[in-house]
This record gives sequence, C-alpha cells and structure tokens, in this order.
Amino acid sequence: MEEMRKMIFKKLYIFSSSEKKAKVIEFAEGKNIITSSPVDGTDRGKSVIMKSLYHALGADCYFDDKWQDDGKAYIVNFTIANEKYYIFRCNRLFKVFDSNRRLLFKTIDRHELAASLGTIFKFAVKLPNRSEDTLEITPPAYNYLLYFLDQDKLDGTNFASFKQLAQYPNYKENALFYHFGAFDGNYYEIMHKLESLSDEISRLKKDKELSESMLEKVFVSIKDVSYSKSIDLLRHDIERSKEQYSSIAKMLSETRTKLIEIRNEKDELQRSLHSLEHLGKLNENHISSLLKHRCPLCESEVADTLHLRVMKYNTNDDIILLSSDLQISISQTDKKIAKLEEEYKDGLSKLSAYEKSLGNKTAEVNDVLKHQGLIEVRDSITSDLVTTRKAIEGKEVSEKELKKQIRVYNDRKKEINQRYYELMLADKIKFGLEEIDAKGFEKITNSFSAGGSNKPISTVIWYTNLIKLKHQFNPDAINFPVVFDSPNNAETDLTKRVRVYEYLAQNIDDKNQLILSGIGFKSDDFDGVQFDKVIYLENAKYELLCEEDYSNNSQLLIELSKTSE
Amino acid sequence: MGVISVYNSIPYDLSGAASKNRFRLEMLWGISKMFDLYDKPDFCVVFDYKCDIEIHFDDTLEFYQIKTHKVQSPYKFTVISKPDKNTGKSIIGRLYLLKNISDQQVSMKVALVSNAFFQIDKKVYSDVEVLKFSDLDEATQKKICDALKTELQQDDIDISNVHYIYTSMNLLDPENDIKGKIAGCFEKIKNCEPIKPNALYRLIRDTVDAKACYELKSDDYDELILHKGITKAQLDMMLNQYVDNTDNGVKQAQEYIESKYSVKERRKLKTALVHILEASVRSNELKNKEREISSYIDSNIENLPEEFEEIIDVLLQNFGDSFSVEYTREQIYVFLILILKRWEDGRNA
Repeated sequence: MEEMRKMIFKKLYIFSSSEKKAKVIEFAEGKNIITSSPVDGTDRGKSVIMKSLYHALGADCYFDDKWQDDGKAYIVNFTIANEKYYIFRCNRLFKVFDSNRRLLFKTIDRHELAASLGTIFKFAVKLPNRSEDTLEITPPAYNYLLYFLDQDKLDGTNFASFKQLAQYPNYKENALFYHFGAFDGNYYEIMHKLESLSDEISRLKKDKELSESMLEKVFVSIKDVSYSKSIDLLRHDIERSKEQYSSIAKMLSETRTKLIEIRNEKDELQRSLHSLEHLGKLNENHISSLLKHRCPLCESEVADTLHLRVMKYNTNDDIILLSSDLQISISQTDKKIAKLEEEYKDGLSKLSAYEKSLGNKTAEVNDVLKHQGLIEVRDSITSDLVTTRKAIEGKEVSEKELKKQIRVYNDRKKEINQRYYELMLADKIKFGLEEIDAKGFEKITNSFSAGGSNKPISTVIWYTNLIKLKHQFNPDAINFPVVFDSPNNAETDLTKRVRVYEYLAQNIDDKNQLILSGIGFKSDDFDGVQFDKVIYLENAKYELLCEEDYSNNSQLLIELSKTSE
Repeated sequence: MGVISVYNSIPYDLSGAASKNRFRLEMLWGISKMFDLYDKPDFCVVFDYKCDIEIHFDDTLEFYQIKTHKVQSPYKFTVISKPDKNTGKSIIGRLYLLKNISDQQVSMKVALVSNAFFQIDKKVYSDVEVLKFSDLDEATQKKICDALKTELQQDDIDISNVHYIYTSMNLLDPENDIKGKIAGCFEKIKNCEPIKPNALYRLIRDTVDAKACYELKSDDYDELILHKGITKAQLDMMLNQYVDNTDNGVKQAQEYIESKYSVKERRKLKTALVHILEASVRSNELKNKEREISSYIDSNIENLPEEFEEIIDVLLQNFGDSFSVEYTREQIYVFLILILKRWEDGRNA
C-alpha cells in the first residue's frame, strides 16, 4: 500500500520587496490556529495569511482592497509524503523547487502549472472541455475546492472562495465526483463511447426500420409481377440473341468497311481512267498538229513529222491498252461492290428481323427482368437488414458492457449521495439547523440554503462533510491542508463560536493539516481539543509585514526569484 | 510527152477534197491498193486529186473511181452512163475523159471500182474481177461506145484500157479489212507481226487522210506528189519508222505487274503506270530520266544482275532518290519496270 499522500504547509513567506518587509509564518503539521487580540484583534492580517497559502499554490483568492498583491512575492514551503518542496509565486509567475531548491519547473500558465503540480500531487482535477469535447486538466484552484474557506464567502453549497471557477459551466457535480473518485478520464471516455454508441444504434435502428418497410413493399411487388419460371432458359435465350446481334453487327461493319475501301478503289481507278482519257485527247491533239506540220508544243512548222507521229501513235496504243485494262478493273470492282451491297442489304434485313423478334420478346423479358430485379433488391435489402441487425446486436453488447462499467461509477455516486445525506442530516441535528430542509441533502448536487446566522455554520458543515466523503471514497488521493478563515465570523456567542472550532478539530482528523483563524482565541478555550500551534499576531493593524522577517529571509527570496537556474 | 506532162494536161477535180474534207472509204481502197503494189519497183499513189485514187508509174497512169453500191444488186450500165442533171456528165463519161489524152509513151488506164457486179443489158458479169470493156462482145462494146459518143459528143471513142473492177472488199465497213490487210502486208514485208497494228493503221490512215484532204491547185508535179501522193519510198520510210519507234513496253510492264503482284498491289501499280504514262508524255524530266537510265543500262549491262527483279532493285538504289517529290515510290518503281521492258524490247530511248 502506498503511503497516504498528505500535503503539509511548513512555512509561508510573504515578501514586499519594495518595502523591504516580509512575514514568515511557520505551521505545525497538525492543527494550527491563527489568532489575535480578542479586544482589538481585527485587521492584523489573519485573512492575508490564510489566503496567501493557496494563492501561492495557483488559486486566485479575493484579497482585501488594502492588500497590494501586485508587489508581493509568496513562497510556501510544503511537504508531500515527507518530500519537501518550495513554490514561488509573483503575480502570474510560478516556480516550483525541490528540497534542495533546485527548480523543477516554472510557468505563467495555470493549466501548465496544474499539469506540473499534478506530477507532484499525483492528482489533478480534469473536467470536460466543452468546445473540444475532451477531458482537460483544470487550473489548480479546482484541486483545492474542498479545502479553503474565505470568511467573506461563506455562501452555503457554492464554491465561492476562489475566483474564476465559472470557466467550466456546471462544473460542481463533475468536480465533486472527481474528488470522490466517481468521475475520471475512464468514466468520461466510457460516457463518450456510450453517447456515440447510442447515436449509432439509433441510426442503425432507423436503417433497419427503413429496410423492413422497403422489404415489405418489395414483397408486395414481387407477388404482382408474373414471370417465367425458367429464368435460366430465358437468360440463355438472351445470351444467344446477343450473340446473334453481335454477329450481324460485326458483319455489317466489316461489309461497310470493305464497301468503303472498294469504292475508294473504284474512285481511284476512275480518276486514272479519266486522266488517261484526257491524255488520249491531248495525244490526238498533238497528232492533229503534227498532221498539219505544226509542232504541238511550240506551233512552229515541222517538215517531217513522221517520226513524231509514230511516237504518238505508239503512245495512243498504250493509252488504249491501259484504258481497257482500267475499264476491266472498274467493272470488276463494280461487281465486287454489287456483291458487297447485296451482302450489306442482307445484313440489314437480318438486323431488322432480329429487332422485330426482339420486340416480341421485350415484354416478357421486361417482366422477368423486373421480377429478377425485385428479387435482387429483396436479397440485397435482406442482406443489408441482416448486417444491420448484427451491427445493432454488436453495438448493444458493447453498450451493455460499457453501461456495466458506468454502473460501478453510478453505484459509487449513489453511495456517495447516501453517505452525504447521512452526514449532513447528523450535523443538521447536531447544530439544530431546523430551517434547512433535509430533502436538499438527498443529492450532493442539490443546493440548500440557510438564512442569516446559520449560513456560515451550514457552509462549514458542507465543506467538512465533503472532505469526509473524499476520505471515504477516494482515500488514496492526496489530502490537502484545510484552510478555513474565521469560520465563525458571524457568531458573537463565545460558546457557539467555540463549537465550530471544536467541530472542525474533531471532524478534520490527522489526514489533513488544519489551519484555522479567528479573533481572540487561546489554546485553552477549547474543550477536549488540542491545537498543535497557536499563531498569535501581535503586529499593528495593517502591518503584517516587518523589516526583520525581510532581512532574515530575503536570501530565500533572492535565491528563488533569480532568473537563471 | 512523159507521165508528168500528160498528167498535168488532165483536168483536175478537187470537189471531193474540198467538199468532204474527211476520211473517205475510197481512201481505204487506195491504201489496200498501195500495199498490193508494194512488189513493184516504184510507184506513187495520189489520193483524190484528179480521181479518187491515182497510181503513177514511170510510164503509166491509172485512175480509179470508187463507187459503193448499197443494195445487193448488180451495178447497171444504164445507171453508170446516165448523165447527171447538173453537170451533164455520167460516171463513165467522167472517167473516160481522164484517158482522153493520147500519148504514145504513156499508157493510160481508167477503172470504175465497185462492190457490186457489172450488168449491161441483161448480162451480169459475176465471174470476173477485172472486166476490160474492150474484151466484151461487139454489140456490148458498141452500146458503150454509142453512149459515150452521145454524152461526150465525140465520134472517136476508144474503150481499150477502160475497166470495171469488182472488189470483194467490204466498202461499207472497210476498216477491219484494211487493218488486217496492212498487218498481213507488214508481216510479209518486215517478216514480223506489227507490235501495235492499230498504231500502224493510224499511221497509214492519217497520212493518207492528210494527203486526200490537202487542197491544192498546182501545176508543179513534184509539189503535187509531195502533198497528195505517197511513193513507195515514203511507204518504206513509214514502215521503218514504225518498226524503230514502236515498243511494247507498257504492255509488258502491265503483264509483269499482272503476273507478280496481288490484286490490291496490282491496282496500285497499274494506276501508277497510268500516271507514269501520262507524265512521260508531258514531263521533260521523265523523258530525260528515261534516256539517262537507258544509257546507264547500256553501259552497265555486264555488271547488272541476271534477274529482272534484281536489276530493278539496282536501278531503284541508284535512281530512286533522284526523282522529284511528285513521284511516289510506286510510280518510280513502275517507271523503272517500263524502262527496263522497253530496253529489253530493243528500243533505246
């Protein structure tokens, strides 16, 4: 078992460098009371001391207007499980040192401070960050919620003693259960998972409903559609007719290509023939010219044209030869074209016959296809439905498991509430707080209020019981010193005043260091209660700090405030 | 008085040449006659000057009047001897006038040529080709002479050397007969068939036509012969020129393509051949190339391969890239085939 983690304030140093004044208070490990003269003991600085402790640890307290916080430096020397630490605060700067005054960390950010302190405390309150939907370490003030009471903020079931707690809306419940070990990262994560699981389940259920209603419609439609039983036969039929079509289409396309080719050939042949005819005419013209003894090219007179004419006749015969050859070729291509045209026409009539027969089949095919389509839709929906149902089942199993885990937390919460009710009811009776309705105790999150003079006592009771609940339900978490400033400040009756202190001294056991304050106490004022240390403030009004303490302790201030390590 | 002066004294009649000015069937008979005469040492055929066809020998003049008879019945003397309403002259009268010049040195012969048999009175002379009027019986001779005496108003009529010639040649459609005759004669003369009978026919026919159509009134006999006649020497020259300048290259190239290539390739190469033939008529480049390549073959024949295809390959390698861009590879290839075929045919361009 790990040793109980208990924080003990050893010494508090308050420095005002500008005034070269300081106050150093040393605390006992057990119960401490800070007091002053019963006659004229106000404004001696008790509250400043009380507020300075958690202020130094990163919470922001409501200082009196007369107290100039700006120029002050606070040092608290504390121990946790016999490990000694120093924390230094000046305005927003925090430094933490180990027992040898070696700097462990420094920061000006509260979240960072809380995280770093968390490593020392092994505790840091985490609350949901609404904007990012995650659990985050809160500023340190939340750690100390149960342990500090400002005499001016004895406000019942509200945590009013620290500033700036409103950044987490509705933080009270989560923060309380965090302190009691009934709310943590695991819980938050489970809740988160549960939330998304439940979203998914409800979405899946909607899907399921939709699928079921579609399926119902599909079933109705399937009954309405007549269909061939031999669907395989039909499919076969369709396949065969597809083949038939593609063979016709292929044949048509090939024939068309051939036709184009052969027509091109014919065109080429015709052009050649035409140019031959042209050449023939030209040749004849040349012959005519030569017969007139004229040169066909230059029109000059040629006496003997015989040689040239013979050449021309020769060419003429060649032209006739090639021309008749071309004509034969053309008539051959004509024959080919005619044959291909026949083939093409044949293909077209086959295609039209095919399309006609296809038209007859279409209605039947449509019915079958519709039926088949519906069957496919049905199968697909059914399969979807099965999947959805399985998914819902799976999710519900997970949900159940998570809910089981959550139930452990909820059971603890119930227990806490139960115990809270018992404790509060007992104290209500003890202090005769009849005006407070016990119904307000049923849930720890409920608020109750007491009027006038009973308000401080009810506040003290509430805080004390919270601490008790913490001990009971989250005993391993660190116990911070209980610092209650003048918890009796409304009481004038000495007996009544003492009762509050006696109550605190009896109920805050040695698990927590106790530091109380109040005017005009002496150690023998209490019946059966022993304070380990009574700190009597004898300084003048508003003169808590003195030069002597400064000169005796400035070395520490210098050491902790220097910038280099 | 020699042939020339006798001939010059004969009145000429250019009405045929002037009015028709187109090729006439009678000229074909003249061509046929010309080849018939080829064995003679010398002659000159004159077309359509003083008569349809005239043949001039050294010492003889022959005049032939061609008359086609369209009906399948004999040609009656009454028709031949009936004077024309406008001219007052009959067919036989006009022919007789041609020989109406008497000269001791020059023998004269006139003939009426027809595709029908001759009939006078009731007698049809269907068994003789050449009917000499002077060989007819007395009575018939007298009848002919009387008719001529009446028509020509002459007392002295001599019908010796007046002939009627029946020709079996189809004068209604003589072209095929003539082509066959020319080819046959050519073969006899040159001991080989004409490569292109049509070209030969065209050569002869066009030449004759030009002579027949030539319109000339000339007293210069040499000029007349030059323009209207064909001498044996001229005929020889025509035949020789034909032999020298006629080639079968295109046909052989065509046959080569036909034998060697598939239908599709044939079509391409044949159209290429058409383009080449066309271009070679017009293009000096191709003419020069043909000369260049032929002379290359001449000079290198010893070094060229044996096979036709291989020679073409060599020619393609050497000349293929030297043609202008407008000639395709196929056309160049076909052109080379043509040149090589012509070269093989013995014709050097």
